[in-house]
Amino acid sequence: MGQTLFDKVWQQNTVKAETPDQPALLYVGLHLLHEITAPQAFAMLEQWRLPVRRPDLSLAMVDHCAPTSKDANGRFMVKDQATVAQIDALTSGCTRHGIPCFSLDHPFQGIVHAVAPELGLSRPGQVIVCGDSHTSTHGAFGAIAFGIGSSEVAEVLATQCILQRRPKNLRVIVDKVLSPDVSAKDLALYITTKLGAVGGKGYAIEYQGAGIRALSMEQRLTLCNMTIEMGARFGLIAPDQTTLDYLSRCLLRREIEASAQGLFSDPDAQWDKELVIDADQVSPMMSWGTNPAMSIAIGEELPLPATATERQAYAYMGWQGQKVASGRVVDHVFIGSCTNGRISDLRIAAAQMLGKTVATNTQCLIVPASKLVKQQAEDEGLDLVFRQAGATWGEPSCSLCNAMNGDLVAPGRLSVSTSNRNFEGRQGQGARTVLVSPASAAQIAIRGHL
Amino acid sequence: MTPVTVVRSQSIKLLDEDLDTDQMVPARFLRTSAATGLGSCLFYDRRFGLDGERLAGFPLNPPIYQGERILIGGANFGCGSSREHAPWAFKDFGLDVIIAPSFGEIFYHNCLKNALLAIAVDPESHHFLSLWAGLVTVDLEQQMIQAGGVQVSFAIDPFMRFCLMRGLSQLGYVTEQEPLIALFEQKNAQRIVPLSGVGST
Repeated sequence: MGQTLFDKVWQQNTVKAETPDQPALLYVGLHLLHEITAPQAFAMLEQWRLPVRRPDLSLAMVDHCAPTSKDANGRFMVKDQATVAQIDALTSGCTRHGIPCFSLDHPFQGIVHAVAPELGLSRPGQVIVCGDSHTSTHGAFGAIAFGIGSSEVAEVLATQCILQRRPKNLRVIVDKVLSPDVSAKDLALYITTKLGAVGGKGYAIEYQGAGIRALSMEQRLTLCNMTIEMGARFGLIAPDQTTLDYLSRCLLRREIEASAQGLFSDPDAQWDKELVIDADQVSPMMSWGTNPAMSIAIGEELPLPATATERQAYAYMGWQGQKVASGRVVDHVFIGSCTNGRISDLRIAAAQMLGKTVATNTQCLIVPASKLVKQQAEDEGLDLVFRQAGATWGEPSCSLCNAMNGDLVAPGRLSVSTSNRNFEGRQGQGARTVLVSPASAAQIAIRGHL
Repeated sequence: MTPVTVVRSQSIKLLDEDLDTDQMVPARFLRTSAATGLGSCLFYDRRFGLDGERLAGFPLNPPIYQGERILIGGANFGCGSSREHAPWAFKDFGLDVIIAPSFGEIFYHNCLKNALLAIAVDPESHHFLSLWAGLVTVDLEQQMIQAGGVQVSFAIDPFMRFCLMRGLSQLGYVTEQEPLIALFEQKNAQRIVPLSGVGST
């Protein structure tokens, strides 16, 4: 019987096989760390008096609480002393253990899920972990990539291994090429509505089909990034020429062709579940509720809430009395995050905003996902387009995706965002979030309403 | 870690579906590098209003909350972010068991790493437990929940159960696999490529 891509990568990285009594022990090829979930792991290691086994396979950076603004002297405006202490806990831990760390001033600093791919560090056939649920992003290279907790971060630091039970295999087939005005973000939201917020639970999702093959590497990263919103920790795509071309252009490229060989699901592989998506049915999407599965096509009528959860989401979002979303005033637009803060996302946004002005009732914040993305955007003059439109151009950070760095949406305000989660309070206590693609976000910023 | 054996208490109900870890510990409380003292932040934005007043109707506020150690949650409990601050906050608050129809996967594993027993039960048993006001006994060794005359058995990874019952940290187990890890590295030396060119500042 044939194997799935996931099972092949699993097998290649198995240190100790799974038995009914014990999970498998997998070898981690790349361990990414950041300031929110790593400091506690360093404390655990030190409590156990354990060294870091492979600092040369680990990489840390400051992203969640990185400030988006600098003062007049060019110094980062770090939110408060707690944030200073948190950044220090990461950098000092990395120094003690010999782990490379990109702090605020490093030329490669950025969001972990943008930086590792763009540098060429996320590679086919690896196991990649990080104390962050959006680690599924790196599966776009044909890797087993997943989010872990701080206790597991400590285990990986100490042993370079992770305990894991093998999930079931689910394939999502997109059999036709998406229409040019539909992005990977729209596709991800569409699949999430079909699978539901728990439909992927217990599965690794492999995306297949002509519609996936036609996606650029950055679009694949967006799709795999959103896989956790379907309840699955793993999303992956078989490496192909697009993958190899992308990696060959990366700054720290390494020999990758050999590692990608044979990394595809065999035609006779067994699938535990399958979902076929008709690409013609996918159009630009927006979320209306408080998880990404609560999404509709833009222009579609708002659904009538059917469950207690939906009623609560409807009330939280303040849709009472509205049949359609269109016309509703938008207070904030955020373009950025590990989902949609890459150079191709910014180019799309800039194309929409060129020569136009952000509506007076709307504040628009655009935050590149990394220093390299920021530099590239500035080289192309995209920052000028954004600034001339009246948008704020920020320093690389997770920023308004999780609202930890001081960027906030006020209670009751409506924010249209290219990030990944519209949970209650995600962008600030009482803040209301509508998830969209970068193209839609830029159009809405100009218009000032949905 | 304290071994988990039998937990006996009345249960508190928090049945909302898809309660994500951002609700459990809002992001602004993550600006700490400590794993302790997070109980006061648990469900902060649901326990307290915008003016900081305690919302008496929320299940984890008195008078509803009476020191119960068992929580009955809704489906997809703990979806979202991987923050281990969520189970740390539950433990610090005083809860030892969460029973729900299903869990966010990362949250579920984080619970079991912290002597917080997360138990998935079938919808029918969940419905019964969500209405049951009396004592609930959770026996990890027997893998059994008792409520009144009703018994509900539950599944748990035998490895997790072993570690929980003995209060063992999995960190200890993983470090004991050192010979196998060294062997794997030796055999796969060509595939394990150190990061280079990523000099630190």
